[in-house]
Parts: sequence; C-alpha cells; structure tokens
Amino acid sequence: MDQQFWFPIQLSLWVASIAAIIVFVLGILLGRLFVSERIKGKLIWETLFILPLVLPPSVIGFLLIMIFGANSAAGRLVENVFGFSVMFTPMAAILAAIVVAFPLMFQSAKMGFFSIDKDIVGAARIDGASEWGILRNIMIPLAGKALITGGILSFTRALGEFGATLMFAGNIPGKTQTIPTAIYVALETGDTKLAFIYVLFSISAAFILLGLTNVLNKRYN
Amino acid sequence: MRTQRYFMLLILMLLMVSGCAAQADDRRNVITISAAASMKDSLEEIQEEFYNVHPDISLVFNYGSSGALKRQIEQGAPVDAFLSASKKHFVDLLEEEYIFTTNKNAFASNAIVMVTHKNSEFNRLNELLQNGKRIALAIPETTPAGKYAQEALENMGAWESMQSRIVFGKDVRHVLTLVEQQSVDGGLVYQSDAVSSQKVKVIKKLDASLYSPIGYYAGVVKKSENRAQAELFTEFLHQKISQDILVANGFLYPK
Repeated sequence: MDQQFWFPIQLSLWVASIAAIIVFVLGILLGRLFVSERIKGKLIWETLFILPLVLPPSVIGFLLIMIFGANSAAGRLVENVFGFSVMFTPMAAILAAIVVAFPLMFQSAKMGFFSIDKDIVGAARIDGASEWGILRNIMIPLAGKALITGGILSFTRALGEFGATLMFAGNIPGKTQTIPTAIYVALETGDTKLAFIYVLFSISAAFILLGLTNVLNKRYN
Repeated sequence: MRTQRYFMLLILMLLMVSGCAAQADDRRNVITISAAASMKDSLEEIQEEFYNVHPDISLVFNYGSSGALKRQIEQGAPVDAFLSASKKHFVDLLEEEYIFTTNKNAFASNAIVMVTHKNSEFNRLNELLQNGKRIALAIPETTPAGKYAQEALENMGAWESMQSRIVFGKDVRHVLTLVEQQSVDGGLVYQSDAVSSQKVKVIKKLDASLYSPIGYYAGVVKKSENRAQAELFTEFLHQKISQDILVANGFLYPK
C-alpha cells in the first residue's frame, strides 16, 4: 500500500492523539472547576460546553470558519501571529476534533470528580493540602477510571469527526484528508473497495478502544 | 496484565502507522483547487496532463459539495480556484466578487440518465414510469441533480402521477445506493455517476431538451496569490485534452 493510502490514517491518528491530549487536560481542569466552585453563569457555561455533542457537525464547522476564517478578527490575529491561516491545515482538523470531543471528556471528568467522597477532600484541605495537591494526589487518582474512559471516548470521537473537519480543515488528499473525509470521497467516486478498507479500519480502531474502556471498567470494579 | 497488553497493542499500532508524517509538497507554485468530489477521478487524470505542460506548478485538490466549497471561499479559505458543479453557486461567487473567470462558459456538461439494478427485469423507461414502480431522485430543493430530474419528469408529464412513488435521496450518491441495493426499481442520476457503479445499468439517457442545461464552471479566487497559475489551470480545463478525459469518465462536452 502506498503513501496515498496511508496518509489519511496517519493524519487521523495524529489529529485524534493531539486533540485527545489537549481535551484530556482541559477537561480535567474545567471539570474540577465546575464540580466544586461556584461560578457565575455555571449552567450556561456547562450547556455551552455540551452543545457540540448535539449540534450537527456541519454547523460546528460553519461556526469554526466564521470564527477562524480569514474574514474574522480571530482569523486575522492568528494569521498575523503565525503567518498563515488555520483554515485548511491539520491544525484546523485538530481544533474541530477538540470542539467535538471536549463534551465527552468534560462530562466524564465532572462525573468522576463528583463521585469522590467530599469528606476525603475536606480532610486533605484541613490537613493543609494545596488545591493543586488535592487535585493531583487525591482527585485525579480517585477519579482515574472516569478520566481514562473520558480520554478514550474523546480520542475515539476525534478519530471519527467528519462534518466540522470537512468544512474547516477541507478535504485535501495528502494534506488535510482524514479517514472519514477519505471515506466520503471514496464513496462519492464509487470506489467502494477503498471505502470499505477505511471503514474496516475505523470500526476496528473504535472496537479496540471501546473494548479497552470495558476492560478498564471491569478491572476496577 | 491484559490492560497493559491492550496499551502495547495500541502504541504499536500508532508507531507502525505514523512512521513519518508526510510533508506537503514544497515545490514553489502549489495551487489549491476546490472541486466537486464527483470529479475526482477525472481531475487526477487531468492533473497528470497539466503537469506535463506546466511541471513548475503542482495542484492540490479540496473535495466537497459545491455548496460547502462556496461557503468556504466566502469565509476566506486559502483556495486558488473553484470548480463548481452548479451554475448558481458559480454565478453567486462571481457576483459577490469572490472569484473571477477568464471563461464564463461551462468546461463540461452532464446528462440525466435512468438507471436500474444490473439484474433488473426493466429495460425501458416507460415500464418504470407506470404500474406503481418506485424510482429515486435526489432532493430537488438542495441538489441540482434532483432539480434536473424533477424538470424532466414534469416535462414528460409524469411528475404528478409519480408523486407518491418517488423516493428522495439526499444526493445523487444516495440515489445510486438505493438502486444498487434494489430498494427502488430505478433512479435518476448523472451519467458520470452511473458509469462509476458496476451494479447499475443505464436504460435511458433522458433527452437534453427535457431539463435545463447542466454545466461545470471554473473560476479563480480573487484573493489568491497564485492567480496566474490558477488561471492557467482553469483555462486548461477548457482545452480538448481535459474535456476528452472528462468525457471518458461519463461527463459530456460543454454545450
């Protein structure tokens, strides 16, 4: 198999990995913030974070190009700082993946932190532990299972992201074409065999990853 | 430990596949062309011919539906040329002054054909329009192919009587899938899509007078930094060498 065939798989794995790492850290920090602190407009923020889970991905893609496109303030800022526009680059694919995967990680982290006995955190605080120490040494280990599950789900979701990626990162073979957008083109041109191979890869990857979360759940229960 | 083995497998997979991520082509003049996904096969062949004439220009394609590609250009996507499968999207972008063109004529055309499954007992158009047979076409409101199909049925006087027997697919590819899986008895699709499927046969090429002319148009994005090169390419599409390739893939010469 040649480079043309492997590129979407490589890119998808890179994009999903980087997006999952960013979402993992961001989800833990914001999950921690929203589980205990009183935040102004908490409900609105939370709804906003979860929104990408239910919005049509093409809408997310459209919003992303409105925000980061060359005609917007944010888009021009990025262009001035980095010297190129984000749109139609692998970075755009990563951004799209982050937006759609974040709700999964945020929810998992919040649930994980929420299930921790408040007395344990309280005791640590009385004994003089810093907030950072509590998060690192108590909350993250105790919510470990939920966090890892959230991370894997985020990676899987990022791997399968199509609509927003197509709009925002484009569908350029060898540059921004991921597995889902490669499947789209293969189907559109009647190349059922190629589409089938990519579909098989997607299903196997999702199966292994979701299987992994089940193994983890079993082990800890 | 099972979990560890799982992780190992995963990391192994990542390493195996990622290898060295390929770098995009670094030759001096790279132009990006947004094109309808249905033209991919033809464009890859045209790309080779173009390279023979202009070895200093390399082409990268961005595939999507013409509507989505148009929105990307309106939002300032870094695209140099736009190949539209719809006259409306092309004219809109011209009027909004996002693109310009050196040739307002279509560089290719297409035909609407009636297809059935290759094992279907039906061989004539009339059989499909009568006796409760179900046919599929793309949604006329959102897809040009569906609009042409509706026009053709109307002009044949069959639209009214067919109403309850029409299944609407989301696009031509969906219609083709419905026919391939024999969910419907026949479907109205572009000729270029019909030739890409081995599971369907064309039973009738509808007369071109039954629907509005179909055209594929090429324009250069005004903001492009490679306008001269993009123009070379859009003009190349109007040459016979490109059009022969398109025709070999089921498209028609422009009218």
